[in-house]
Amino acid sequence: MSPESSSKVGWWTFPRAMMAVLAVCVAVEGAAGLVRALVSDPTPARWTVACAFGVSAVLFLLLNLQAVAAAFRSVKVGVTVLVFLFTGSCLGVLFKQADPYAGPVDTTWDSEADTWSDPTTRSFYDEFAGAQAFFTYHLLHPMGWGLPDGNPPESALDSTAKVAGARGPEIAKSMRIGMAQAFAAQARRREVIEHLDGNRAAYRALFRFACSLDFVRAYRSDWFTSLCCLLFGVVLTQAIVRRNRGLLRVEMLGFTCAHLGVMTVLAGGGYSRLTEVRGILPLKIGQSADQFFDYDGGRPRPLPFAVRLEDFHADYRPVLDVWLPGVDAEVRHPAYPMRDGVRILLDRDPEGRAQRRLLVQEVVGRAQIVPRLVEAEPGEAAHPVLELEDPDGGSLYRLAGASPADLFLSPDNAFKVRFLWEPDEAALAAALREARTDRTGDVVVTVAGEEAVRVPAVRGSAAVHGDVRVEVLDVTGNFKLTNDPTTGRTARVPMPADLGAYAHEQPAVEVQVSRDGVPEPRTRFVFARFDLGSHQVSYAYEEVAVRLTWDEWLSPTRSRYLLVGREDGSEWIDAASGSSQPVAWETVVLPGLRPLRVLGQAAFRADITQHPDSEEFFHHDPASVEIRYERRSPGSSEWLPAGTVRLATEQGLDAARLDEGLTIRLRRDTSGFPREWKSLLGIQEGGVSLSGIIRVNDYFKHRGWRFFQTDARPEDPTYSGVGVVYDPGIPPVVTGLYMIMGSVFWAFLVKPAVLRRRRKTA
Amino acid sequence: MFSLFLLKVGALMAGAAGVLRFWTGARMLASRPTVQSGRIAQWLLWATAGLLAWSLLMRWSEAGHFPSQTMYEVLGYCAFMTVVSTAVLVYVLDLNRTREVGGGMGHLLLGVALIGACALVWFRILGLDTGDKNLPPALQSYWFIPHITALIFSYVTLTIAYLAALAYFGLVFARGLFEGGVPRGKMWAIGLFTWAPFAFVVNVPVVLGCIGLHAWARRRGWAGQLDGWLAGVDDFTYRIFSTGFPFLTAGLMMGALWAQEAWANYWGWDSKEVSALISWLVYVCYLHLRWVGGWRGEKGLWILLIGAVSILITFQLFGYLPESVDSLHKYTGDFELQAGGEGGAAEGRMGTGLEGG
Repeated sequence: MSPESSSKVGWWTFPRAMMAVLAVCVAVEGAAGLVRALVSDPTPARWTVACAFGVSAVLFLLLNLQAVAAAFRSVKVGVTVLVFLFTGSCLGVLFKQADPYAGPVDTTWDSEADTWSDPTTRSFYDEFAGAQAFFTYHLLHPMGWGLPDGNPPESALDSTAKVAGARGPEIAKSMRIGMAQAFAAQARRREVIEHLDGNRAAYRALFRFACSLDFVRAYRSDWFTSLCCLLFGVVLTQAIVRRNRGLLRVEMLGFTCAHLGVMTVLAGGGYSRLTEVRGILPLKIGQSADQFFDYDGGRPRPLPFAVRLEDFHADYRPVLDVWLPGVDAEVRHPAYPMRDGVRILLDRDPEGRAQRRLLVQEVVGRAQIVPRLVEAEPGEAAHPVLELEDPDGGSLYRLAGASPADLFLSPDNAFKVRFLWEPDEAALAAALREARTDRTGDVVVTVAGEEAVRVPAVRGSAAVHGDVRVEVLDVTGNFKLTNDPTTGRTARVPMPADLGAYAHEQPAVEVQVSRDGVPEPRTRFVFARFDLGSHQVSYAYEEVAVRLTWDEWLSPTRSRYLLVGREDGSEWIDAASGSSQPVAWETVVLPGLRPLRVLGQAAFRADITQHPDSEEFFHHDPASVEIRYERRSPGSSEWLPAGTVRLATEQGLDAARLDEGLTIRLRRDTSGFPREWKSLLGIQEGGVSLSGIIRVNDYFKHRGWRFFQTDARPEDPTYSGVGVVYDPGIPPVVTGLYMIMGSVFWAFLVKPAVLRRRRKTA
Repeated sequence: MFSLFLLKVGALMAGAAGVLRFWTGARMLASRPTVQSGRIAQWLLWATAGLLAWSLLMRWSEAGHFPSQTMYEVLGYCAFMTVVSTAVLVYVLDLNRTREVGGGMGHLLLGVALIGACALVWFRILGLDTGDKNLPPALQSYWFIPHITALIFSYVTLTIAYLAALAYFGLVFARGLFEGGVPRGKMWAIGLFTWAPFAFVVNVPVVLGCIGLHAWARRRGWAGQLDGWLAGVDDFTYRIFSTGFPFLTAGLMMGALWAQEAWANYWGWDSKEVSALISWLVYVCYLHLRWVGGWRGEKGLWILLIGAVSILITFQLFGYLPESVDSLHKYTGDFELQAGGEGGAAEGRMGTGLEGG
């Protein structure tokens, strides 16, 4: 370094460096503002100002080139940049940040409405003022001094004493802490709101100040970017260029790598900032998409390939609710997490010893439930049930008098069977009469929510509702579309005119909707098995809602039978001829139908077992637990077994009542995060398909696009929110992070040991 | 809970080890024979570490995951790490061999840290909710244990560096008080810092302890020995710093690497991330100013104080920061509230950053 240059470096004291860095930030803010103004509205006046600014900046740099070069070599300038970055980061956490993808906040005040003009600003200001008031309020009460206690009422505290006796002191303590926190939070919330109300003008002024200096967009601001660029420059100059010799010696290796790592991270971060695209791909199982919605305004952005959600599963944890009589009426009972070996101790005696306990023997994440038909026990709810064997060897059940659960329909519509139990003569005659008629169903028309008009779903029938007329043009039992390869157009698959000749997989009607005085009638298809009501607004007559109810029993078929179950002998009745024959159990009478037995007083039991494919994550089966219930032997410390129950997270199998009113229920806890969630994604691109599983902490990458699990909805188990990121800056940043970590360990922990050994050897 | 019982016993043993170290340090400062008490304290320390590790494993088994999900678990881990850190620092500061005043002050400070860990368990952790919570999917990663471990070890170690720096200023304040010669501005600065919000819980007892120590040393005629330690304090604190700083760096970098795997976003400017970055930047400034800017001694010690305050904010007070509202680092589930804006709409929200991550 020349003496002149050296003296220039020495000229840079901390105050001077601070002024210079501050000036750079202000200049960059000004320049960026000018550029934005020019881009939005390039007037000659703006061009003139921009050119003058640019020329003067370049002239200033040229005239002070040595001083500028010396600044980059000055350690004090480097440390000052670090201090500014530290300050910028502090501002970022001390001010509530706006949406980073949105632009600068518009702080125009609407005097008439007495609020901010921009609705987005209004909503952000609410968040900002709330967060700042919360912070200030607690800053004014360090260590919690002066904060309201918000003591829970005595009655609430008394109830926890009962809980302590029933469930143990730890759970009672958790409840007391939870109550105290909740009551204290309520009291504090009131005071924070009072504080906010009393200082509205101050918070508005603070908001304006923070917005004007971009403190609410600290990390996206131009001044912060300029600081990061300056840091890159000073690290490059001071750590690498200035010390261009011996950088790879043992003594210098950590130093060199750490600074190279910082530069790599900054360069990668800058590259990310310029190129990254980030958004979400909302998919349901079976859906494909070749575009996603970016976070930068929710605009649809194309993907270079199609992504299909092949499968998705969110595995929510099973928890056990335990109700104790006389305790849980007053307080919310805790939910016990289910893990193998969990012990739930209940009913403490005055010495604190539990009198009853539940031991979790086995937790199965994926259980198989095999229902079993048994004679109902006295007092148990019973049903007349017909048990059938399906072609695959499993059991089917039909419940008499519970339509449509009393029907068996052959898959090809060759026949239909209805199960009746002990009908009297009149009822049997009525059932036979009904079974001899064909009836497809009803078309139901509602106009603007007014009372419905119902007409038979047969070709030519018409429903008139005020001035609206809905005419049935066509009826089909299986509406299907196909793509005509010659024309490339979609067309309906023609079905036979005889509705009884084919299976009714997708019953539909084609209707024509018209209104008196309106020249253009419109046709639409109406389906029995899915409701297009949500698309109603896209119809020409959006106020006219048309539904189809399909009669599963009376819609045309080739033959209908009644299976009449009786205690003293069941019979088959052919509806067409009325001929009857006794039921021969366990023999095939109709294709795919092997009646096994009939029970007039039947109840269901279920065998809950581990699913044979229990390792498979993607499933929709219930979880199950086996719980052993024990009581303490009177007068001794011995535990006596009192029974074992197996529960599953399936309605009807999830609860058990043990003795003395103790009731337990197993459920999946959907109130928080699932234990695990995964999506199976398929990529289709140019005839090539590949698939990958994503979960949180494990993304799937294809051609630089990263897909990761980000969202799920307990109420819709088929939905998966897939995060989408394209960020070529990630590899350099990751490399830089490893370099910094490794070099710091080397410099502080390994190098001293190596050098010590060298010294010893020497 | 057996883990809780082990934690209580471990805390008592840590307290006993702390008292023994304190006693050793005091005897050493007074040039009295220590009768191997330092070595006994070290054995006791390793036994305590073993017991607390056992408590940790039991809690792991009870909760079904690595126990750093609730404030109770994080602070329990913090107590364990304090014991590990002090045991390591005995070797780093070479306390088993150093007989002079530096060794005495070292024993004394590590004793304070251990007594602090014992107090943390008995006066803070035992008042917390001991129930366990489920681990959300985002925390189910192989980064979870090394990230938390590195950060908590560094926080504890850098807090011990803070104690050393504070002891320096406490002794300077005491000297100014008893002997004069300390500029009034410095006396005011130390006095004000002692009462800094939140930090005063540690500051006041340490500074009062230093005043007591100085008074005792003057009475017994070895106050000059303390000057020797004051002169060498820079090297003393730097050794502690250089043990904690690599782990602070590793914790921060591992957090970024983990975030990259979880959300394909290595840095989301989450307020917890930024708070941790701020602490790291403070120590980076300390390092550069000490190495290149010549800020050794007192100037550097001030930065160590600021760094530890920053750690305190990141670790315990982060939930009160305005920008913590939307933080993704709220897993511990402690209740706090956030008021609405001018509309007065207020909502309760669960979770703060009161955690070790």
